Amino acid sequence: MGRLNQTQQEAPREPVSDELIDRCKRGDELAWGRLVELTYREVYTLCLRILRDPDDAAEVTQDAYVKAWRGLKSFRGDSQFSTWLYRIASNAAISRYRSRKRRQDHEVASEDLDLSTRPGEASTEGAAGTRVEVDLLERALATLPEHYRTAVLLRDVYGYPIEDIARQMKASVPATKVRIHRGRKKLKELVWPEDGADGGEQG
Amino acid sequence: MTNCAEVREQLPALIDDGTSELNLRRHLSRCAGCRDELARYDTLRRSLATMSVVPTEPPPGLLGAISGIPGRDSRVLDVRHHVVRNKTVYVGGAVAVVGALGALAWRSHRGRVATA
Repeated sequence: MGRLNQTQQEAPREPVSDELIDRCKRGDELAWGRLVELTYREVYTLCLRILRDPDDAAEVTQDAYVKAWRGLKSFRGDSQFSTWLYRIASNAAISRYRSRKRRQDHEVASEDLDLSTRPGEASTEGAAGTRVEVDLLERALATLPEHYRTAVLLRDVYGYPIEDIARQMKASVPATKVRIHRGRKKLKELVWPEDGADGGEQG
Repeated sequence: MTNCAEVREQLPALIDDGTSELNLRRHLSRCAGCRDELARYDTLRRSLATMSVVPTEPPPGLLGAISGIPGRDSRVLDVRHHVVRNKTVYVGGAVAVVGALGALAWRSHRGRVATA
């Protein structure tokens, strides 16, 4: 996957109202169009982050919305609509990734990663209040093995409960925690490579 | 457990769970290096959390394709319902066609045997 064509700005977050969802449930196609307009960028981005292939991501996004349309009547509002929709999308993306797993060429070796636009020290120091740039994070995440990448994405980017991630990834909760922790460690080493060899002063 | 390397192995989990382990807290309170390391994980976690609202621009045409799902889906469902409703007619027709083809084949076979 090439460089992500990111807007680098936060999307306007008009919430999906209950009224809009009710209209969709009644088969209102205009309401459906509005609902899609409000949500499809984020859903596509989630699929792209898991799959790292724009064509696959677009296809899986469509599949996810077909499932959402057909299953809309079963959405009772116990969780946020976006949470429900993301769950359908991440499930579809993980399944797609598994089905094409044999295509090893989608994996990018981490030594190929170009982090040349790493932000300056001031913005990446671990002091409170600073942030790592999204573009750098996207590229670092893209180099992680899929089982680490998806676990970190779903936990730290999308805030899924660990039990949900374990279910979607068909892994145990302890194994999922290990994936998240190892993924974070690898990510930290990519973002701050100077930390690579952990120092070892004895305390 | 007060070795920096061992403490740093625990840090990726610490940002989820916090820690009540006395040795770990004591080490962190004394070791600036491990505190910095923990701060980096915290920065990483906060930065990752901002990514969910930074979308990548989808390919042109995707919005139209998804918006059109109800129309396409209802046509697919209409066809499916039609086939299910008229199952007897379709199955009966298929049986009749297969039967007719079989009868033709049998007659042609009999004809060839008779002339031989």
